[in-house]
Amino acid sequence: MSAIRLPRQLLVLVAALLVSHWAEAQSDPAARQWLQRIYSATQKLSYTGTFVYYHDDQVETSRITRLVDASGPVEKLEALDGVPREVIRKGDEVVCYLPSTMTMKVDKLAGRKSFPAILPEQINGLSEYYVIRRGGVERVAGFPCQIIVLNPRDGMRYGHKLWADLHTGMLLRAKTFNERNEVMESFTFTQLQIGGNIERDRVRPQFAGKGREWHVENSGAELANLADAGWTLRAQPPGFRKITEMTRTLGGKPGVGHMVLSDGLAAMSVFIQSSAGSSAPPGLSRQGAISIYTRDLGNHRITVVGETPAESVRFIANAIEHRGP
Amino acid sequence: MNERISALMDGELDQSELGHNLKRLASDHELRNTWETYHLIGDALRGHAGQGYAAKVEARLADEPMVLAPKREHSSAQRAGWLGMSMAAGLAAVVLVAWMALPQTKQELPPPVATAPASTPAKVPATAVAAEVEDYVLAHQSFSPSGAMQGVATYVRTVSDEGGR
Repeated sequence: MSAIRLPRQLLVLVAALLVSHWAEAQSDPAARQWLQRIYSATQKLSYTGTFVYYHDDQVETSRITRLVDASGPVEKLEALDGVPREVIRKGDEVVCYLPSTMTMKVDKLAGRKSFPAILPEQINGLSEYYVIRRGGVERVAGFPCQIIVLNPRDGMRYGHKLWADLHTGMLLRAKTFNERNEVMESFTFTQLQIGGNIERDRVRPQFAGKGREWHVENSGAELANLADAGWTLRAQPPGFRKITEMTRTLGGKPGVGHMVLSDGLAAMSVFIQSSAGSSAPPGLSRQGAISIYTRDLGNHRITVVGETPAESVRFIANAIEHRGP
Repeated sequence: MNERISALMDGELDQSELGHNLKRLASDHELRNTWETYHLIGDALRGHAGQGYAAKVEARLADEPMVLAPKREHSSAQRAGWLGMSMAAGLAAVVLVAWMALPQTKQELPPPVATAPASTPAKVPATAVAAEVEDYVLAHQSFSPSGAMQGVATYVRTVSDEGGR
């Protein structure tokens, strides 16, 4: 038996080497450096601007401001269309203000950085699952931008086209494509100021301290080992690895299991909760680039959410299993 | 040629014609489609298009994702929808307050009981679905590496106007 196993392992090793070699050969190293530039620009820069989010034939305009000072980065997103809504992110805490329902959703996970550091190795690892290359130079919101294209090597992830400011590396436009080359969603700045004088008020919530009753919905997220409760993944789509797991309160239900997988660019979340009181019917749904697949397993409901094609979220949902203690 | 197919189906062709037409059928994709359509019509007329076909259609439909974004144009119907949504959201807020008033105990994930066949889900208003989906997307958002590239902009998905308000 071992006599057979050894050559097979060798074969796998050789195949893996060949694949990574081929991947290296196909991806443009300069394009990978551009990705690194984008990540560090996102961590360093202060900016304020207006951007348009497009998905499923809909267009929404929002204002975004990011301020980095001695107390660390604070970011604010304000919806400019329809009911005013706001998201403020500071450190490991994200707060959503939804004035129409007077709800404040607070998501905090102790120890989580607002920007997970992306290492050069991770970016190099990406080229195993995406062909990364540079496109031309195009202007977005008045800034000349370098285009970077990430084409997926399989059907488990979407393609991406990114426009990064030539001078700062800041991402000014991002488009996500499916396998038929259709745009699933896009983010585009229409006006932007990078650096310069940005007042602290612009990252403060406009709803705070108005004396009205806000309902606070706290996620109560805590790192956990879901395998202790018997929940494991039988298999993962190629390239996707578990990056963290926790329990949280979701829609008023405490103790919901939450597992996150990522290929370094796209991520999928698995939610495990009691099926009692779930209103969404099992099946597949989609919003922009986000696919959602729900199924029942025993008296539990498994929901997988990710900016990936339907195939991937369904794969994960079906790979979840429960082993009794 | 279509009459030929119908004759072929009814077994009205003689030996030589039969061979010729079968050959054409084998090589011509469009003819084969016609052949299948005629059979489908025949089956439907005889009332047993039943199981196989319906199941196939159902499976195909189940495969189509539900797009969680109503079109903006339809004003009055949609406004009614929005009213429903805000009512549902209001109800959700009431439920939330009720829940918050209860003493909170930290719960372990309950172990599942023996697998029972899942019952057919009842139709639910899109509003409840949207609110639930919004919570999932919000919880997911923080962990997506794309957020490390785009900053807080990706949260626009969770505060989307069509998201349930």
